[in-house]
Amino acid sequence: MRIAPTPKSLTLLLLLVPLGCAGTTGDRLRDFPAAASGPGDLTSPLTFTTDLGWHVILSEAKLHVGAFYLDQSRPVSGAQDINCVLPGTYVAQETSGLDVDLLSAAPQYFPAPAHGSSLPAIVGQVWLTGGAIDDTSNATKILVVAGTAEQNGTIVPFLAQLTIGTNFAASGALAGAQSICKERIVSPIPSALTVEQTGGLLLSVDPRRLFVNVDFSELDMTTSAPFLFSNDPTSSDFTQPSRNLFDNLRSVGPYTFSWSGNL
Amino acid sequence: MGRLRFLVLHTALWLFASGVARAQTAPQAPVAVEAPVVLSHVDAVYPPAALPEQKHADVVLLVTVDVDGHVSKIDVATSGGDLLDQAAIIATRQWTFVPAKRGGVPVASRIRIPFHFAPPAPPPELVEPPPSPEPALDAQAAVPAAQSAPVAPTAPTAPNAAAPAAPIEIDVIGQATPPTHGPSDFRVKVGQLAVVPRQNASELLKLAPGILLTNEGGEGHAEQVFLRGFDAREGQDIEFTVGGVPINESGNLHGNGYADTHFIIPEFVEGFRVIEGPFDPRQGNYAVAGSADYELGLERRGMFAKYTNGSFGTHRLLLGWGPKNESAHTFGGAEIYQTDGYGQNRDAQRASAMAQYEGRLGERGSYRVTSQAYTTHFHSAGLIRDDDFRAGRIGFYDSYDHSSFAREQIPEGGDSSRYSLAATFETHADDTTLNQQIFLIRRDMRLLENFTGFLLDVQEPLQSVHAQRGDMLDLNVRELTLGARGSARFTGSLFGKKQELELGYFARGDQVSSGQQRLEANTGVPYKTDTDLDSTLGEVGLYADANVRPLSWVTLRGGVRAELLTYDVLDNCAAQSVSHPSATNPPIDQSCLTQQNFGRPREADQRDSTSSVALLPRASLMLGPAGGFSFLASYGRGMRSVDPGYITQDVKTPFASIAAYEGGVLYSLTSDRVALVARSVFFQTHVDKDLIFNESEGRNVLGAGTTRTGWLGAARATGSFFDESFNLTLVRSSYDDTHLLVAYVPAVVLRSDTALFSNLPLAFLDKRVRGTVGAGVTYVGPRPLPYGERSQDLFTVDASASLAWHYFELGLSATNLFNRRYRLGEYNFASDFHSQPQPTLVPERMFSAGPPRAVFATLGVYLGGV
Repeated sequence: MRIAPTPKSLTLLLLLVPLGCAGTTGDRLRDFPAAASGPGDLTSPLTFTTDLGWHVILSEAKLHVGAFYLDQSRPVSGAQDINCVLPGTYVAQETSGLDVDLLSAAPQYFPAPAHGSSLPAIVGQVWLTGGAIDDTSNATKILVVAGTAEQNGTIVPFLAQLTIGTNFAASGALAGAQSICKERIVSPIPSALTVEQTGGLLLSVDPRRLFVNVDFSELDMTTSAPFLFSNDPTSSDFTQPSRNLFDNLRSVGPYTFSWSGNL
Repeated sequence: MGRLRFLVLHTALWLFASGVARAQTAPQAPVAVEAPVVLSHVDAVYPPAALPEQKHADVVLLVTVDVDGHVSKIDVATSGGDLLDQAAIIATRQWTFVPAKRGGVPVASRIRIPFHFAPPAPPPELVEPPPSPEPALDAQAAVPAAQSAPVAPTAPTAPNAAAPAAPIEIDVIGQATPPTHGPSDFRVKVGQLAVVPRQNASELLKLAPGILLTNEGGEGHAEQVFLRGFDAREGQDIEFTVGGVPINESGNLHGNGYADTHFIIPEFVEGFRVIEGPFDPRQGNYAVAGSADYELGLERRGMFAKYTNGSFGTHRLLLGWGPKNESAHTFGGAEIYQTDGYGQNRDAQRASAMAQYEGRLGERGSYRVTSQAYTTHFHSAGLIRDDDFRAGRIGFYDSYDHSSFAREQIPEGGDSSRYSLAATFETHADDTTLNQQIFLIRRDMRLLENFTGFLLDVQEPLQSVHAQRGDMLDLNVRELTLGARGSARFTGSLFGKKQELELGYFARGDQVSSGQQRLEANTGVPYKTDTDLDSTLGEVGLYADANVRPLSWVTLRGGVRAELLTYDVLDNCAAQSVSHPSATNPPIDQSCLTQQNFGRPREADQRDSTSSVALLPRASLMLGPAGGFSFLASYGRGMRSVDPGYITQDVKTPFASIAAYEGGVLYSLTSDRVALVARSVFFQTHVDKDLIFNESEGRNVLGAGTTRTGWLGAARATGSFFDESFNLTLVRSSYDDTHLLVAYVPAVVLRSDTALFSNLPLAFLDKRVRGTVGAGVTYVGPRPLPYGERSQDLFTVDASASLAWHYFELGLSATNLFNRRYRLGEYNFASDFHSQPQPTLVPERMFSAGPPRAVFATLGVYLGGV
C-alpha cells in the first residue's frame, strides 16, 4: 500500500513548526555601555555653597566605584539591616570598576560593558570597594576630595582621602550584623528605569552632596594646611565633618542612575 | 473459524505445558499480534551419519525470531536424536523472517517448527503444509508463512530434507503485557538498533519520540529527560520502572522521583514501553509526562565477553551469559567501566551486575527472580558561564573546580549505588491471569554540585564575619524501598467478543534520609546545613482497567486509578532563622537553630505528617484497523507527589494534577520485504502546578500552571537487512497565566536510528562474515531560555560498524562523529565564579559542554550459543 502525504497534512505540519518555535519566555538580556560622571550642571571650577553656608571650591573630586547593580525589588523594611545583597532579582550590573572624576560632566566609560535584563529596576547599589566586598584589608582610596571652603572670611583648605577597610570593620559576637560590606555598599538608590535596546546606563555622582551638613570649622586646624578629614572612626579626630562626609558618601543622595540614549 | 479457535487454544495450552516461554494474554485489536513470516529458508539435510539407521523421525524446534527477523535461539522440544536435531538446528539458523509484530511494532517471537526426517531412499517424505488458515480470530494470532514447505533435495549424499509443518505455534515473548493505551503508547524492541552507539540505557529512550537527554551532573548522575514539552528533570515527571520494579526515588532531595537508570546494562535491555502521557490506569505516581518501563532480556544465548577501549581513557569490560536451554529472560552479567572523561573533571568508574532467572511455576505459571547491584564514583565539570568562555577566562570543556579563581577543594561529582532484589510470579487459571511482584531496593547517593559559584552565602547576622565561602551543595540520600504490585486479569465474552477486566494494585514504602550541606570551597568542610530530613513515605494505588469491544472495530480501554500517599517527615533542621536572637547566647554560625525570637528556646527539629488521595480517570478509544489504519484517542489524568520538604502538618499534599488529551492515527503495513509502522499524534497536556528549575535549590521547585500542545510523528521500518526508526516532535509549552514559553523545553526534537545488517560475501573456515552498520542522528531545535533567549540548536551524529565472524565480533563506534562543538544544556541564571573583579549577580547564560568526538573499539567473543 502506498502512502502519500496529503497537502493538507503537510500544511498543518508546516504550521506547527513555527508554532513550536515562536514565542518567548519574556524579557531579554543584553550587554550595554555603562559610564559615570559628575553632575550635568557643572561649572569649572566647581563652586557651590553648602547648607551650612560654606562657599566651597573643589579642585579635586575622585570616587572609586568598584561596581554597581540595579535590582528589581525594593528591600522590605528592616531587611537592609540584615544582608548586603538585596532580595529579588538583580537586573543590571557593572563589575569592572572605575575611578570617576566627579568634576567632569563627560561620561567616563567603565572598562567592560555592563550586563542586564529588561526587567524594570527599582533600586540601585553602588559598591565602593577596590577589591572583594568582604575583604577588610583592602585599602583602596575610595574618595579623594580637595579644595577650599570659605565662610565669613575664614578659608579652610581641606583634603579627604577616605578608605573603607579595617578602619570600619566591626568586631564582636554579632559582627556579622555590621559586616564591612554594609559600610561599602550604598543602597538602596531609587532607580526606576529599564534597560533599553539601545543606549547605556549612566551613574551620575554629585560631589556637592558629599558636603551636606559638613562644618569645615570643626576640622583639626592645628596641623598645616590642607586640613584633613579623618579616616579613622575610632580616632578623636573623627569629628562632625569627617563623620558627615563619610555618611554622605554612603548615603543615596549624591547618586543618580539614568538611562541615556547617547551612550 | 472453529478450527482456528482450536488452533489458538491448542497453541496456548501447548505453550503452558512446554514452559519454554511465558504465556501471553493475547492483545486485543487493533494491537494485533502478527506472526513472523518466512522470508528465506534453508532445507534441513538428512545427515549422512544417520543414513545407516534409515529412520523416520520428527524433530520439533522452539525457535526465537528476533525483532530483526533472524533466528537467535533454538531449543529442541521434540528430539529425533542428536544427529537429526543438529541437522534441523543447522538449517533453521539460516532462516530469515519478517518479524512478528504486536500493534504493528516488530517484536521478538517464539515459534514452533516441526521437521519430519525421512531417509533418502525412497525419496524423502515431506510434511505437507496445511491449508492456509483463516484470518486469526480477533487478530489474536496467526500462523506464519513457514508452511510453504520446501521441496526436499534428492542428492545422494545430502539426500533428505525436512520442512516445517503447520500449525506453527507463536508466542510473543515476555510477561503478560497490558494492552495499548492510545496513540502514544510505544512498545519498542531494541533489536538491531542496538548497534547504534549509546552510552547507557537512558539513551535507548530516544527511540521513542520527543525525548532529549542532557546531563550536567556527570556519568553517575541521572540523565535529565525532556519529553514532549516537559522538563522532567532527572525523572521526576516520568514514571520509570524496570520489569515493573520502580526506579523513581520517592523523597530524593535532589528531586522527588529522581530516576537514575545507569545501573541498567544496555545489552540486557530487550525493549521498553514508553507511554507519553498518563493514559494507562497502571501508571502511577510521577507519570506526568509519561512512563517508561524497561524489559530485561538477552536473546543471544551462550556466554560472551566484550571489551571496549576508546577515547579519553575509556575502558569497559562486559561479561554476560544466557544459558542455552533457558528462556531469553534468564541471563546474567556484569560490567566494569572507567573513563578519564573529556575535558576537565569528568572521570568516572562504575560497576554493575544484573541477573535474572525465569522458571516454571507449576503447570501454568512462571516466575522471575531478578537481582541487581550497581556502584559508581564520578566527577562532573558542572556549568560554565558564557561570558567567561567568550572572554577566554575558561575553556569550553573546562571546569571552574579546576580554575585558578574558583577552585574547589572537593570538586563536583558524587557517588551512587543501587542494590535490588525482585521476584515476579504469574499464574493462569481458566479465564484469569494472576500476577504478583515484590521488590526490595537499597539506594545511596551523594551529589556534589555547584550551580552558582559564590553567590548564596551572604552574611547573616547570626554568623561570624565571612566572605562568600562557596555554594557547593553536598547532597546525600539514603533510601530503602519495599513494595509490591499485583493484578488479576479476567477474560470473558460479551457481544460475541472477548472482553477483559484487570484489577490491580501498587504499593511501596520508603524510608529516606536525605540532607544537603554547603561546603567551603577552600577546605571542603561543611559550613551550613540546608536540609536534614528523615522521611517515611507510603504509596498505595488501586486501579481497574477494562478492555471492552462492543464492535469488532471499536475498542474502549481504560478505567480509573486511585492513589493514596502518606508522609511522615522529621525535619532535623526546621528552624534556620531568628529575627531577634538572644543577646547573651547567640547561636553563631549554627544553621539548625535552637531558639526563636528574643531567645525563646525551641528544639531544632520538627515532625510533620499528612496524606492525600487522588482519583485519576483514564480512557482510550480505538477504531479500526481498516486498511492498515487505526484511529486512536485518549484522555487521562495524572499526578505527581511533592517533595517531603514541602509537607506541612495535616495540610493536604499539594499534588500536581495533570490532564492530558491526544488523538492520532496509526498505520501498519506488512509485506514480504518490509514491516512499517507509522503514527501521527496531536496532543495537549495541562499541569496545574509545574516544576520549574531553581538554580539556588539546585533542583526543580513548584511553579505555576502550564500547558503543552503539539504533534509527533514516528515511524519504524524493518526489513531483512535494515531497521529504521524515525521520530519528530513539535511542541509548544507555555504558562497558563502569562502565555509565555516554559523555559528549557525543546520545541523541536528529531531523532533517527538506522541499522543495516547483512551476511557479507566473505567466509573463513566455512563461517560467513556478518556486517552491521548503525547510525543515530539527533536534532534539537533552539530551546527557550529565561529572559527571552534561546539556546543553540543541537545536532549530533553517532555511528558504528561491526563485523561478526564465528565466535568473534569486532566493532568500531564513534559518538559526535563530526566533532561538532555543542552545548548539551543551557540555562540563564545568576552565578558568581569569581571570574570578574566584582560579584556577578545578574542572570547570565550558563552551559554544559556536550562531548566531543569519541571513538571506541569493541572486541566481543561469543561462545556456546545457538
